[in-house]
Amino acid sequence: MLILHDLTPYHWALAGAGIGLLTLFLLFVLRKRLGISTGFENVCSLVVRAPYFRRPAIAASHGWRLPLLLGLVLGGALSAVLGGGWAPFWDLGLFDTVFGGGPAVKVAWMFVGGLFIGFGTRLAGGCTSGHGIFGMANLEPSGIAATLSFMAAGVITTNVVYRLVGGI
Amino acid sequence: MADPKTLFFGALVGLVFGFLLQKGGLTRFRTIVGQFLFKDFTMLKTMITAMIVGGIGIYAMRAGGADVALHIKSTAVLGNVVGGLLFGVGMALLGYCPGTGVAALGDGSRHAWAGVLGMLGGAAIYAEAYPWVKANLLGIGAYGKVTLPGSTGVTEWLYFAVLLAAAVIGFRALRSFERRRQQPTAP
Repeated sequence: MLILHDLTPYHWALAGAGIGLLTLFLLFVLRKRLGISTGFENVCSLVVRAPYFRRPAIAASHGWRLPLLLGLVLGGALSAVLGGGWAPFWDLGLFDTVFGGGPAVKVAWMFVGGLFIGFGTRLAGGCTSGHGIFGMANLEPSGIAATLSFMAAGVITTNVVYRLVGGI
Repeated sequence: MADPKTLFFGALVGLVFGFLLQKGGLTRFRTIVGQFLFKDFTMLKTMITAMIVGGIGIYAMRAGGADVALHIKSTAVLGNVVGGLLFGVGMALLGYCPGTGVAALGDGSRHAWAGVLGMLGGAAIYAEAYPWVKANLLGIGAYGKVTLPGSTGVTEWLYFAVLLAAAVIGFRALRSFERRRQQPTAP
């Protein structure tokens, strides 16, 4: 089953340039700034009643942010299907070899990681796409500060978890 | 209800984005974790390429007379840094960022569902904390909607020239680093 998932990926320059051009397309056609994590506010606003989610800007952006998130799921699926077959998996590579654990452990681990991401990206005002790609492309101090911070924290945390604790 | 054009192009951009992330290997846990362990530089190389293509494109479109706004985000340094640090911790645990995590749902990654639910939960917690965050954190290092070319007076093309040169030199150095690293295990 894993063979299906081990197709040679696109060269990074192709994927990177494609994402860069896609950013320009969104900016030119819809006059919107690429960003994924802000879309979580749109999803949350459908079910959570906090005043933060009732800002007019959120309801006004439902029209493109919600389809964008849906398209993102479908795009991941389409690529997997066309790339030799889609198969659901629990495989977590290094996490499996270092820590092991069944689905319940992974679900808990992932959920906690997600909480950090959800809170952190709202506080920072963006994620890899909004800050790392668009913010850096725009030469914004906020994009540079956020991107350097998340890369640094990612490197430190990963090395603490897998090298220091996991002992690889 | 939004107009059909907005719905359609929103979905199309998402679809192509998800497709490229999956094809680029970025919807995989090992790619992100590999980046943070300095074993696989796919994430950084893809991100920097997208950033340079996007950046030169945005400013070129404007220089060419296209009516596109920069949509500048406000800078609030403390929020950007603390938020970025928390996000980085989460990305290291999860092996996904928001974009790659959502695309990974489609890719078949079952645990990504827990991660994305966590992201929504984290955003909801932020919404509850927002009055306090706004009063105590977001005012620190707040410069408003600024860009480097705007506040330094140095043309954006100089920044991109430096970035491009740094990327070319950096990527070349990286390639020889990766080759050296691979050699001992090569058959």
